[in-house]
Amino acid sequence: MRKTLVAITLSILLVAALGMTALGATPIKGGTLRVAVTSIQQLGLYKSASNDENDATSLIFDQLFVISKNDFQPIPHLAESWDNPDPLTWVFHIRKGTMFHDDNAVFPKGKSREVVADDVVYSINRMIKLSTSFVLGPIKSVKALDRYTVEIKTETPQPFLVNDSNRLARMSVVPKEAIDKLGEDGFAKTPIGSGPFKFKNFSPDSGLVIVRNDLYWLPIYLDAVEFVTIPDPAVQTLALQSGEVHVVKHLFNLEVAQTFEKNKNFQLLSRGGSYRGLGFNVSVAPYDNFEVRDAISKILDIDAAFKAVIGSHGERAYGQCPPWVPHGYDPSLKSIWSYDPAAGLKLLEKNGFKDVNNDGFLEWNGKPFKVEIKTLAGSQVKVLTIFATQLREKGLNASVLQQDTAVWADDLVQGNTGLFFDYSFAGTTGFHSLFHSSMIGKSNTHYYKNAEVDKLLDEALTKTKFSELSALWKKAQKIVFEQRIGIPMYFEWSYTIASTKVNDLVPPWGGFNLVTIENNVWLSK
Amino acid sequence: MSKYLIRRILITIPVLFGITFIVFAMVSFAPGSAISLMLSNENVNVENVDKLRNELGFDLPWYEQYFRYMGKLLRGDMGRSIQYNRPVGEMIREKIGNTIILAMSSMLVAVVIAIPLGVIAAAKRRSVFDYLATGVALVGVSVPGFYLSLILIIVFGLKLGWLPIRGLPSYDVTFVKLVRHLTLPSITLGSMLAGVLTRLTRASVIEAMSQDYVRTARSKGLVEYKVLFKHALRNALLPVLTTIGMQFGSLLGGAVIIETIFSLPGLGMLSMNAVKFRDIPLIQGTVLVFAVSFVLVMLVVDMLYVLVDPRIRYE
Repeated sequence: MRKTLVAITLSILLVAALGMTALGATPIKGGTLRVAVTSIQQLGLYKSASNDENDATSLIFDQLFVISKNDFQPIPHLAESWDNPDPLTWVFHIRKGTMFHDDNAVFPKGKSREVVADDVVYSINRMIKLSTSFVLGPIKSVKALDRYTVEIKTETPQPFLVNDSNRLARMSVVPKEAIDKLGEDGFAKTPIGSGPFKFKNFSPDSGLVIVRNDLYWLPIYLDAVEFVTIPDPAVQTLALQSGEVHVVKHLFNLEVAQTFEKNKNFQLLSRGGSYRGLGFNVSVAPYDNFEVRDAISKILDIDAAFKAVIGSHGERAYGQCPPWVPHGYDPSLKSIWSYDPAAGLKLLEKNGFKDVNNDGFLEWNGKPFKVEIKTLAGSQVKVLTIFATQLREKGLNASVLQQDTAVWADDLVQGNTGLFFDYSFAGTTGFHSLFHSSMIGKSNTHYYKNAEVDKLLDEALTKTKFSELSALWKKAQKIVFEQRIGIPMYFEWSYTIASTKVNDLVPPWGGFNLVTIENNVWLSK
Repeated sequence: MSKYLIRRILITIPVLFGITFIVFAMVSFAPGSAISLMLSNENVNVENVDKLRNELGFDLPWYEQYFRYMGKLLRGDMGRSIQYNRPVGEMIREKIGNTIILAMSSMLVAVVIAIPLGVIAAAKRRSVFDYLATGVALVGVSVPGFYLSLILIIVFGLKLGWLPIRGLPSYDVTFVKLVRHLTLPSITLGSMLAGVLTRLTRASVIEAMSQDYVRTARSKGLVEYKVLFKHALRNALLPVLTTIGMQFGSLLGGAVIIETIFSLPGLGMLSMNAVKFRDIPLIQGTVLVFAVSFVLVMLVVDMLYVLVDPRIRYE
């Protein structure tokens, strides 16, 4: 009898627990998701590289595809499917029955129209014409094959056209008549798209409110999303704690991440991150000398600095390509690096570094020599400070110069550097941006020119098979780092912190995907 | 009076020209550039950035850029923001109201705290109240705005949850909402001015109280509060008024930090973003508006002298 009672009680408890769990997991309709943003000045597409503005517009407009939360590969969105019949041709099949937003200055309530292939053609051409922040690559032609099919012809094979979160994935479909009627400036203030949320209210740098689009082709749980402008990152996290916002995104702040990972009321979500390394400007002496660069790489104990500062918030890097892109990630490059300060010092001595005046620092060819590592603010400042200490211990008069972003960028682009903090968001073409000679004076701030590397990268960009592309990319990467053009430090995770009330949230990557075939965000009561 | 006004306005014109020149030169020679920032972006569309560089005239010498800018400015065109590709005039119009609201509410906070505190401290010289008022004034002047704002946010926004930590509501703005949102930024920005004004009011009232007309008023048998508020304070207000006008500039300067911390979308926050991005037209526009506001406030202060002290005549 007693055993039976215990069994019944346990069964009831189990059923109740399962019921509660199931209840908790059932999405609830309603609520406004409040997202902290640093600044939203305007809603014009492709005008700025601001994550906040692009995240907001990615919810108002639909994209052909979005980047999967699982493997960073494109998954269908407005385009139900696509083919790549030959390396120069991409054919997209548009989802039927998707509608532009209604109840606005262009489409009155209930009088919207369907999104068709012509809209996609117009929108791609508009992006090519207007964008300063994103590039599609050499497009030969864009045309509608029928009402729901779009064909893109490229000048050369474009493997990254759909695989890169900053190319076609950024293309937002717009209705031509809205731009004709409202003008570019007007459209940037009251945008009309076909995305999951409709524009409701916007005041530059104050806030943006977008509401559920009931005509959307997927069910939407949230009533609205409010982007709350809070420029100060410290105040953003205070707002999260006080409940004024539910989400803080694009966070590269180790201290904040460490605080929130211990707090059970919040979830710390990560998706991708950025490459962080040291770069040499190889156009200036003595960094034009391989042995000097190699010597510095040997003196630095990167593992120790990484463990001390970054720890579980990143991954030690040995090359530039991160694990989340489909090509180039090469952990075997670990073998080309070694921590050997004695060998480093010998190399320096061989190349004219000697303490001639006994001040404890090495002079170069008899003249005082300083290593100034230029950087912008971020976790790397601590790492670089450790590096500077390590270099000073070995006799190199090193220091870290933390600069304002605009000054740092200008110094790098103008080549006013020797040793500098090098980073990229480690997207698919980050390596090309940093080391291809065509990018000198732009994102190739190493001023590095190597015909063999250029050839390998150019050839890679004609391969649409990622296994072939990856082999060429790895080969180029090996040459660059064997020549010590840069010293990879680590990949740092980018975090999104959200209240535990927010369910099914995926951190932004090439757009802020709240409603896709993979996830659909909802708020617990 | 009207002659004086016209003369004052005419004097303002070369001052404003000078300001535009100094700011343009400073920004042009300062390190960093918006174009470099764009180019260093790994996804940059170089062709369109080059087009933008030509459109903005960045390939011209700085003085040619300045003359081009001034030519447009004289036609009422403040140019387009590099970062946002929007007309600067329009962006300023959107934000100026918020900065005026913040500056006025901070001024109100400062005056409401400082004048009574200063007058009572003067009347009760060397009393506990006087020392307390001096202490409050010292704290107001000494605590930096960015620090005070974070303390207020943590105490009243986070711990007690009484007030919102953002400067303005995003939508559905009502008067009550506005007051709640503005309370913390106004206290922060107004506290420094309150400190200065308290000390000044105290000193001015003490000086006025030793004047013959106050002695006369007392000898006529007037009650002390009438002597204090009707005779002494009215005369003591003149330097206070001048200081309020002069401090308006520091309120605008303080707004740059306070608006950023409290997410209050005004000219301060706009200029901060502009400086970060080296958005020259936007920096020029915001600085010019700050300068014009300062000059106008000083003009208004001059006019107010007549009301406070009827002996003053502008002829």
